[in-house]
Amino acid sequence: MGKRKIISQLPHEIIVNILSRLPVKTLLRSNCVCKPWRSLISDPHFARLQLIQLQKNSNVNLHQVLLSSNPLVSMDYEAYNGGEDESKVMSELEYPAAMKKDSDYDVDLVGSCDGLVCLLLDDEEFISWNPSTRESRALPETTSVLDATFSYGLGYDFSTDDYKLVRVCCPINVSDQTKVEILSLKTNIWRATSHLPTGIEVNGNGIFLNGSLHWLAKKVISQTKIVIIVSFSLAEEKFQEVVAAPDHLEENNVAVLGISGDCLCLFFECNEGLYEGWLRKEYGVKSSWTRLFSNPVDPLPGYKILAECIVPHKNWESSDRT
Amino acid sequence: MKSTPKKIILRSSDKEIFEVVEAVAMESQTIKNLIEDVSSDDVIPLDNVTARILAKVLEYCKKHVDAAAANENKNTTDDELNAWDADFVKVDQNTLVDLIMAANFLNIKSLLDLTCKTVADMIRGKTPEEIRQTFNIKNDYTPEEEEEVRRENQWAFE
Repeated sequence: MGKRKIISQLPHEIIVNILSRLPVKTLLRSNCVCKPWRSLISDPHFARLQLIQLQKNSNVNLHQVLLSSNPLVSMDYEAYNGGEDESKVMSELEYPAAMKKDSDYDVDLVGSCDGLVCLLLDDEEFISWNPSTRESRALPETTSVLDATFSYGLGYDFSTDDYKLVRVCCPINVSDQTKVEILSLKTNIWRATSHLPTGIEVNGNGIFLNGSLHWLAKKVISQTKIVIIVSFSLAEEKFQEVVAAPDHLEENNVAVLGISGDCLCLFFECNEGLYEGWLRKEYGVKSSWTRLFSNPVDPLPGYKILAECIVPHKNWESSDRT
Repeated sequence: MKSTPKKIILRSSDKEIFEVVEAVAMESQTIKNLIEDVSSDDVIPLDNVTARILAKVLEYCKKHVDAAAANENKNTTDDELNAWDADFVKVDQNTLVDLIMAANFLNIKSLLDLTCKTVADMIRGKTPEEIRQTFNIKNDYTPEEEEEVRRENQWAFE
C-alpha cells in the first residue's frame, strides 16, 4: 500500500515541461492552483519555453492577423471561407489596459514578434502588448526630436533574451544620416545606435525573421532609385545584408514584406496591372526569389483597402484565398 | 555470419536483473553513456528505478526500436505507434509519476515527452479546484490572496 504520489512533488524542470504544453487560458487559471505554480508560470524564462512548445505543436493555429485600427480587430484568416460567416473571422479585441480608454487614438501596429505586439498611439506613445495574456504596458517615449519619417520593428535578441523596438529615422533632408534608435524592453531605455549609409530610405515596418529585422527600402543609384531589402541584426545592432528585390519591382510600386514559414515574401502591384507574390528561399543566398503567383488586380475583392494588412500573413498552401 | 546482437544487463533498485538487446538499452541516453564507461560484461545498476517500472520502460523502448526498424521497411505507420503510446500511458497516477521520473533519470526524451503531455492533457480545461483535486495539491493561498489572483486573470475564467 504505497503513499499516494503527488505530481507537484516532481522536480521543477519537469513541472515546467508539463505546464509549458498548456494553452494560455488554462495556464492563467493555473496561477490560482498554488503559489509555486504561479511563480513558475510568471517567470519570463517560462514564457520562452512555452513559445518553443507552441511552435512545435502543429495543431495550434498560431496565426492571427491584427489589424491596425481603432477599435482593434483580430482576424483568423484560417477561418475565412469565402465571406459567408464573418463572425468567426473577425473579432474585436479589448483595448490593452495600458491604453487610456477615453481617447480617440490613431492606432498603428508598428511591430510584432513571438506574440508580443507594439502599438504606437497618435505617433507618440508606445505600448507593448501581449494579446494572448492581455498584459500590456506603456513604454517610454523617445526624447529625440527629428525631422524625419520613421519606420519601426519589434524583434527578439537571443543573445540577451530581450525584445527590442527599433526605430529607423530617415531624415527629410536626404543628405543627412539615417539614425537608428533602440528601446530594450528589459532596460526600458532608448539609445541611439548605428546608422544607415546615406542614400538608403527605409519604408514601412520591419518583419522579424531569423534574428534580424527586415525592411523594404529604396536605394539611390545615380539618378534612379531601386527597391532593396535591408536587414538589421538585433544581437549585433547593425545593418547587415542588403538584398535586391525582383527586377521589375519599381520604386513607385506599392509593396509589402511578409513571412511565409521560414522565408521572406514580397507582395506588390507591378506596372502592368498585375499583383504578384514572391518568396525568398534559402535565407542568405543571393537571387533566390521564386514567384508564387501573378494575378490581374481587378477581380481581387477589397484589394485596395485590405491588401497591406492581410497579405503579409497569408497561408500559402491555399492559393485561392485573398 | 551475422553476430548475435550484444546484450546489456541492467539491475533495478530492488535487485532484479533485466537482459536486453543493446539497441533497446541505448534508447536511454543515461544507459548509453554508462555503457561507454563500463566493460561489456558488467551489470549496469539503476538504483533509481524499480523492477516494476523498469519493465514498463523497457517495454516502451523495445516497441519504439522495433517500430523504427519496421518503418524503414514501411511495415508500420505512425498512427499505430501513436495508438500504442496512448494505451501505454493509461495507467494510474502513481505509475505515471514513476514513469516520468524514470524517463527523466534514464533520459529517454520521447517517453518524457509522452508522459508530460499526458499530464498536461489531464490539466487542460480544468478549473483550479479540479486541478488541485486531481493531483492532490494543497491550496496555499488565503481566500483573499486567491480572490486577487483570480481577478488578475479574470478573463481566463470566462
